[in-house]
Amino acid sequence: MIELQDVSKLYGFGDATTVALDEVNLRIEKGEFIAIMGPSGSGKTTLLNIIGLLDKPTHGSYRLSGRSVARTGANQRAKVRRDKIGFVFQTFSLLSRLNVLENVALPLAYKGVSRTKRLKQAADMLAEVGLHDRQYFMPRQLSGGQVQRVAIVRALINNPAIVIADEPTGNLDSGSSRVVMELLSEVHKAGNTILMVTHNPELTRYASRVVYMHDGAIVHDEASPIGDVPKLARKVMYLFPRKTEEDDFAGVAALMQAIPDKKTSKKRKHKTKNKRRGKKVTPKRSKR
Amino acid sequence: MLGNDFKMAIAMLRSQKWRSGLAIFSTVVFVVSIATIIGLGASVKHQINTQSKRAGQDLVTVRPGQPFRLNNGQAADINLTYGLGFGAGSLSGHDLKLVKESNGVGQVSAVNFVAGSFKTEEQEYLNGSIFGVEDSFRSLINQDLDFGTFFSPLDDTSHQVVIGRTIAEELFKENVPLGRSLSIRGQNFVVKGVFQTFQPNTLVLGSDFNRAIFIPYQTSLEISDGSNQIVQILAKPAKPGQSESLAKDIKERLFKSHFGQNDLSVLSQKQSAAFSKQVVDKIIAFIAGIATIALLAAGIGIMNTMLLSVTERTREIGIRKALGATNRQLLRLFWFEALVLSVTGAVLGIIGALLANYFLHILTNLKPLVSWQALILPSIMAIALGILFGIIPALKASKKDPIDSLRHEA
Repeated sequence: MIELQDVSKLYGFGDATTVALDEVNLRIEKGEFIAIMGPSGSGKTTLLNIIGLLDKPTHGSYRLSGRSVARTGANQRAKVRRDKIGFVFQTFSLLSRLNVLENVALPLAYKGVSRTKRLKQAADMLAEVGLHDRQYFMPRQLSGGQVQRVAIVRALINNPAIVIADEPTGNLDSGSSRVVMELLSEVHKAGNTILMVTHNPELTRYASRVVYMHDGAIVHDEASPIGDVPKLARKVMYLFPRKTEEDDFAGVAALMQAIPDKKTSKKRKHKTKNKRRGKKVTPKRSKR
Repeated sequence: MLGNDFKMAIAMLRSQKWRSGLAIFSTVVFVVSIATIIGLGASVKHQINTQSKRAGQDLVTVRPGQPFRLNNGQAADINLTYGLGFGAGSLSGHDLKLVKESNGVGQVSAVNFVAGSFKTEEQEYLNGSIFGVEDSFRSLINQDLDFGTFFSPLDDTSHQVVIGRTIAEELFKENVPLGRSLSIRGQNFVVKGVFQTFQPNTLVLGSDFNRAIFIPYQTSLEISDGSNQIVQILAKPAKPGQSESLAKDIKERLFKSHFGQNDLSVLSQKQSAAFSKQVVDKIIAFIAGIATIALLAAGIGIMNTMLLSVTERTREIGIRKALGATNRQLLRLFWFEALVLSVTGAVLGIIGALLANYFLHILTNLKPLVSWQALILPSIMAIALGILFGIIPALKASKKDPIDSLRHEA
């Protein structure tokens, strides 16, 4: 559904050329939940911008739902963005001067839908996620998690082909993160395609596929069953990597509770497992 | 879509009350000042018309000097000292004689300016003027007396004086100073009458008849040792409606007598009024031109407000573009806001102008005539202002790069 072929993005010229993306090839099928990971400067955001039609690749082709959109003009791209792409940003996703309802209805406004109709549609969608009692609130009156959930609803209002989330939980605490990710997960289960950039390896549990980037290129691409943190991601984890059967049963959200918090002092089975197998034990968190 | 833009624009402005308020304020100031200036001009011209009618449509006035250089019959280069009684010399006794011999002439009176001041025993009056006039003067200018009577033909050498209202009040400090006396150049004159208050008179620029005293023409010659300083000759045709032809005849005679020099003017009432109105128009245009600087200030105020708004909302613009707003949709959004600012300013300006008009009427004796034209012109200018000065910030907003804008802190 989304096909990038040999996509490169170069800034500057001559000696000062920066290669933000280096002949990236990527294929995204409908219904995937892709997490993109990589260190700063690896080109994640640039890739997101190009897929999201905010930017044009310098070389290469980009096909969205069969149509080549790499070289289209700004106005045309704006229209495709409006109809096919939903964005969730890390901070300040919503417009602060409009209330929740108007924020969610905004993409429809640009499509030309009448005011009553679009507000109704927005209200319906907000009700589906349980935020209808906040629909007249202003963004500053909402918690961070609520803001991001509203942003997700807004991203979905136009029935997009893909939802692009740039570190949606970057500014949130673990509780709010969980709630937001649960919503994204439900959105994914409903059949939507999601592309998410994250630094937090734990969040890759929600993804069906993880793409690793480094210096503008995709260095690794692995499918990852939901609930699992894929191999490579584990290397950057600083939290306990294993899941147990009971965690598995409780669902992904419960898995994330495997993070030892201040109150619990659970002894983990897997530590002894590791010791027996001679594997290196990850250092204890001193806060226990 | 249009209604939505409108509502968003209002919401935006309400959230920045101070900034919007200042921008609107400068527009309001502009509208109010232009409307008031035009209104004042209109009221002066209206007064000219009223006086014109009052003094009688048939009056012909001869004055030294030319009011303006005629350029295809239009006034060009107005001589502002015209009719002020100095600078262009005066008419002579011979001129007066010629006028009295003109075809179809009826009443004639010279208006002879006597230099100097006059006084009573208690005080000297320095701010007044002394005019020597003939007995027909009163009916020529169609002004009644409050008290006493004007000169009769038998009084032409008497030492009597008819005074203006202000003189009565200020010099004699009583309402009915008939029989009181004052002295001019050492000679005593008895007050015979007091004129009604003269309306501000633009027909004789520069002299306020309320502060003038009138003595008989012959007497004025006597006390000036026979020297004439006639500043005006007033005449009326014997038959009503003949003022144009009378004026023409007088002009020819005087022109010939002055050896073809065009150093005086003979104007009918209509022409006088037209001239005065042209002067008013030019003055008003000049003042309004200065007030147009306020227009510039208003425009810059609006542009400033909008530019600030655009910069502050950089991230918002980025989000809107990410959501699919085209450049044109953003242009319209911001342009609309500028329009709302200027339209609000215009509307409030109209209300302000009406209020100012009301207060001027009550508190001063200026009576501007604020017609709908006086209100519409600055309003249209204000709205055009919003359109013009609003487009630059709107263009800026629409052309912002979405990626850079999204990087901005809110």
